Amino acid sequence: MGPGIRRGLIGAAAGAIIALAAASGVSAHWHAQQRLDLESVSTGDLLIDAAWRDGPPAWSPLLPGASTPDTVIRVSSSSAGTTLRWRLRVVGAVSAPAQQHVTFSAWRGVCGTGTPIPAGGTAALPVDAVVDVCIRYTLSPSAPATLQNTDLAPRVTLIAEQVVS
Amino acid sequence: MSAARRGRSGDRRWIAGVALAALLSTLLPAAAHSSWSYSPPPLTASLRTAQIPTPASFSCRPSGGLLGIGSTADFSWAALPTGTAWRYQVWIRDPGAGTDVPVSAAGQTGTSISIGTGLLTGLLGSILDLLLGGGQAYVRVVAVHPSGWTSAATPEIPIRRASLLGGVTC
Repeated sequence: MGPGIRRGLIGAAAGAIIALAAASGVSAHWHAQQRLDLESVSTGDLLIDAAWRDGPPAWSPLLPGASTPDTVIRVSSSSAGTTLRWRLRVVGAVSAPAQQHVTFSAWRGVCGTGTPIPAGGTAALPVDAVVDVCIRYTLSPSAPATLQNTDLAPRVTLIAEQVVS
Repeated sequence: MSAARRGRSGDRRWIAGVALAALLSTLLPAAAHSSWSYSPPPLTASLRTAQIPTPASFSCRPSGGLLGIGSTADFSWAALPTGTAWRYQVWIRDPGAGTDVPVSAAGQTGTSISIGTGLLTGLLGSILDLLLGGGQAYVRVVAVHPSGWTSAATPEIPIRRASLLGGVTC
């Protein structure tokens, strides 16, 4: 083996050592090792349950300009995930003929004085949050008379969305 | 291939590469922000719009007048539930002439009205002519919500001339 080849091999070996050192972290230190038995690991879970807090509402028929009484929906999270944060969106709908004349409002807490829940949802909530949502349906004062005695078929959809930031 | 053509071909590949990178860069943030969501079955309830109630107990009672002179047909009905500024509109219909007119366009808040020749002379001359000619007109009431929504009408009650000397009765 000539000196040139030897130098080449030494250089390659040195390069490999440097590369390995870089790959394992240039700041690596000697340390003691502790064996940890791995418990089961699973992905998280995003689940909520929603129910009328005081039982199904018995709302009186709405006249123009009138609102339903304050009604509370309790939303309970049964999610799992150590770092999970989520937001709550609340969507109220009514039957098609009345859509343009009925407004839906939702607050976190007390109707009117609680925190309004915007279309984009609440602020981030912890994994095990329980949220009381107060809702109101209001019939516009200018609703047409053709809407008299119309079934509004109200439907409240609650959506939990994972907050990723 | 000339050097110039090779250069143009290289430029095109470079531009295509940049465009592809730009496209991928727009997709990456969306992927980074993908998240889970969950929605339980919607909550439902029963809710209707109101139906304006028809005034109940609509009735007429003839009142006073010697030999019919000055007599009136006194109508009354039950008030709708308080808490709303209900108005009541009284209509008089002459089926022969096809006339159907409100006693007052704005309606009234009270739950009674007396219809006599004085009222008809002032407001509904053609109806008065009908009654004086021996014909009948028909009176009904509708309730009016401040929004303008109206109820169905009460059943009609006929009115006629009280006597040859005048007056109105029912």
